[in-house]
Amino acid sequence: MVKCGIALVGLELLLLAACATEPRPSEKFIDQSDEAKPGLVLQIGPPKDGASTLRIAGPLLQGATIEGEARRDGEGWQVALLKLSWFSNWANGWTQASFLLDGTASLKPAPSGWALEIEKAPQLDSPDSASIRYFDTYVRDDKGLEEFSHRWDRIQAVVSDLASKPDASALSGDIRKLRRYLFPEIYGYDTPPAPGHAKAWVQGFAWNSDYTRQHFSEPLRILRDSGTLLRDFKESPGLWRLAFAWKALWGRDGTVMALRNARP
Amino acid sequence: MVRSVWIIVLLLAAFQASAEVLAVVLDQDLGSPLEGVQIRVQGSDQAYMTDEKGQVELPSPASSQRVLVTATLLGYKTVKKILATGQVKIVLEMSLEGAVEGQELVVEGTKPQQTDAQGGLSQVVTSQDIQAQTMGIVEDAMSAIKTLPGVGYTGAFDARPSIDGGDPSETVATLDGAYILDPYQWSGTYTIFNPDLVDSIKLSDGIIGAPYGQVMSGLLEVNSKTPSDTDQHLDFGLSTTGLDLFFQQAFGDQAGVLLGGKVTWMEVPLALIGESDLFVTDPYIRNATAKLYWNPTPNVSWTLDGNLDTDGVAIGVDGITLHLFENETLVSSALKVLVSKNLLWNLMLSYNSFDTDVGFQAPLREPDAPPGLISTDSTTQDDYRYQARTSFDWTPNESHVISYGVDEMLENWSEGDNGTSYPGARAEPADFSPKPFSSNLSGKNTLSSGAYVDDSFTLVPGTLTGEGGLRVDHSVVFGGGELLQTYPVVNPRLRLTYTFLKDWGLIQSMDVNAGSGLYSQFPADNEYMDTKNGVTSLDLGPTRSWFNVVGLDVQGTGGETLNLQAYYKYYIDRFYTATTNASDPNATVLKYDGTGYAWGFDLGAKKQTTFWDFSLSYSFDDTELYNPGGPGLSPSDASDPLGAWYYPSYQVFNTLYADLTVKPNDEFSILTQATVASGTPTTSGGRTNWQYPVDVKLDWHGFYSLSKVRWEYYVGCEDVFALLYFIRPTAAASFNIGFPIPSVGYKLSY
Repeated sequence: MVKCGIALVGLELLLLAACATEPRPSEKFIDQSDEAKPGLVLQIGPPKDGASTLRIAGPLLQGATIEGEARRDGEGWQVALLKLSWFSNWANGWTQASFLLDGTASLKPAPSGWALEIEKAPQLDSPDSASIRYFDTYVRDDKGLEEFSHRWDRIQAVVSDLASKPDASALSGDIRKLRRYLFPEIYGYDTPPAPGHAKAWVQGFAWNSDYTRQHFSEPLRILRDSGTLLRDFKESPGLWRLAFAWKALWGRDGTVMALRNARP
Repeated sequence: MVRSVWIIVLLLAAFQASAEVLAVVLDQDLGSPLEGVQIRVQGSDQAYMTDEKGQVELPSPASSQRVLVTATLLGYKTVKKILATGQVKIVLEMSLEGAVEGQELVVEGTKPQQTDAQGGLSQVVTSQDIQAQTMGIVEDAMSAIKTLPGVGYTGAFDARPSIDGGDPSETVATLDGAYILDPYQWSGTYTIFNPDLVDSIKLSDGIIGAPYGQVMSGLLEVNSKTPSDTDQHLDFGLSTTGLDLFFQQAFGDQAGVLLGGKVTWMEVPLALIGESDLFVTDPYIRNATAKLYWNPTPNVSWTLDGNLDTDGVAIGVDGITLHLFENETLVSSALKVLVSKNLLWNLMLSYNSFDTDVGFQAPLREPDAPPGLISTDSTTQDDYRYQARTSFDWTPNESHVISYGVDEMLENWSEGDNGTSYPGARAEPADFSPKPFSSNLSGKNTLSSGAYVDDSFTLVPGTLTGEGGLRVDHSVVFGGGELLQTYPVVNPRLRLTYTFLKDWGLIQSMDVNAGSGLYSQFPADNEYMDTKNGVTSLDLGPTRSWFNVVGLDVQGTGGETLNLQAYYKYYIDRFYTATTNASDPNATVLKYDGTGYAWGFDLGAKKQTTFWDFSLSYSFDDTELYNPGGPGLSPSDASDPLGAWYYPSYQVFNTLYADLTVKPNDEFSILTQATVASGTPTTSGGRTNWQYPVDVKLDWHGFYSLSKVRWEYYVGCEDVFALLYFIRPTAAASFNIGFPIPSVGYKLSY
């Protein structure tokens, strides 16, 4: 009986200890932009069974956090990017989602500090879980994942479509320019529309369907003219930023990012 | 023994090591198996290929709990799916490349109960509608009901509107299915329906189906929120005079709890405007609510509701103190059992008590009276109601839902009058000694019973639908050595809806509806229900009305709605009181031969867009009543004459509401509500003032950065132009208080 009591107390202490704080990272790297406000922070936890936890966060990830695993490889680390967690809100709700990643990178000393080289670019195309609050409705589990996946598919389709545009880099880097491009009827035209242009009326709002035809590929036109893309944009602006940032950060194999070691 | 266990463990481990997962790949649109699909498993470089059945065996994930499975096939969109340890089968559905899911899959919350709105029967307001309109000294969900077509104007301080020209008492309210004795607070100023508690309200003002008894002009079905999310949720609201706090949590799919309440803090705003001494007891409301549901199996659902509502005020005017205190308790339990796939059994039990204390304290002001003498009077009423309802909903085929059931309502009512009086100078000689008085009227018990059968039918799918039923009601009054019975009444009801136009230009659908029905209501708490007041058993019947309605509903392709409804209602056996001696309160007789009629029409139009919402509601009503009286009888109430047609006090000829909400962006909205009411006719032929209040509400809301906490601020003002009105000195009365009423609110929700 006494042993049982001791075991229970021990278990409780163990649980309390586990809940207390995250383990202090043993290594911390930041990008070489602004030391006070780094765009990317990579933290490696203490090793356990040869592997350490990896956490990447920072404004460049648009509020997302990457989790993974790091193993010592000579002076550097071999890194596996396994999961991305993302959260964003808007005026009438929020969205929380996670993606499973399948990417690898190496973190090695470089002449100017450290270099994170993407060996296998992680793709953000496998949402793993999602929860959504829309006004007072909560959508979780399979339904949440399904609805989030559709939205993510649509955003990715638009992002891919934009990549072929001549001013793609300007659009992807400036959310204001992007929204003017996507929805000039609301955020203002760069050049005034032709008088008498074709209109698609949805919920009392007239979409310029001539503009849609000129600037969007066939599968996306119905999405814009129905107001679906506008809702995707208004309800998940952070997701668009993530889609663009992801391509810029880890878009292709062999991308190298310069980091510096910032002792934790 | 230990050895055997080890062998089993090793065998299991061996089995685990060699376990495989069956992957099946299908064409998403056709459902056919896809051959030659390349499958890759995260952490392995090996590729697998599906056979002609679209199947392939993959190694079970062993090292990590979840791995990614990727399926690729030329011409198809690559599909990735999670495979968990222990999973024995994974199905991957692939669609042709280039297909992007469209509008119908946009994240969108459904509006609860919205589909319950039916032409010729009911209108529904959701919690979103209620939150958008809520403001005022006390936030009340009723404010969203008051602007609906068919609802007569009442002003800001009366929550008891006339529905389709009926007496406010002809409208019955239910909370989660249980009838409520008195859902009002501060003697009818507001209701107990807190906007944070309510999920939706359905106002049935058409041909109400046979399942509902003791209702004549309107049925207000209030549904409280049902926690459905396993995360904990909090709603906190701080408004002009009150503080609300509600907590919700679901436990899996099977159970959940809602707890919450409201307290007012009028002391603070009164102090702010320098009127701390205005009330002897500052107006207060203290409400608490609890809801618990449990679905032990998919076929059984059980709900327990508890509500405790108290309110009161005492005001001192020129040394005289008037007080009002009210307490209400409602406990209800509902059980639904899906007996078979086409038979649902419902059971509802409830207990409801309501007590009031109204009275005064006044100093005796007679020239010769010694100082310090106080007259007091306190009238208390206690009402208890026990309710049991059970029914079966049988769906023999897709075209019919047949309901049959019985309901019993036992109500006990009593009244007490206590105080102290002084004969004073009226006595000879003058007597200034206190004369305590105490009288108790042991109320009768009233048992109201009903049985019904009702059929919601579809004659031509999508074109001709309806509801028809028959209801029998009967009441027995007993107690005090008496037994009074009403004659049983039969209430048939029928409503038809014919959709004659679909998908024509900008019109999505257009339908007409018509219906007719008999309704009855018995006043269980009438203090004169006694043979000494002229009531005779089996001669007595409930008040009845014959209600007829015809309407037109138009649904536009852009979500616009237009509703027109006209009605005619005829009353028979209506109760009223008269007196044989105006100076003797014991000479009152209860009559039940009153008649009357109400006719009118109403129009509702609604349009919602991305940047603005507009709704228009217009109601016209003409109600006139007739109390025949008899020889030697005089009216006991000057406003209800005998032998002459008269307009009841609640009647309003014209009520017009125009609501415009401008939404420049998702965070900000401005609601402007303009009202015109033509005033109430009086028995003398005059009218109260025309009313044209304009209410404005500015709302700003959003979520705190990177958090799930929602915030909202609003500033509202009711009757903003009140000070500019031209006040007619001859007006008998006014609905409103004559100056603008500002209100503010701050809400947090997690």
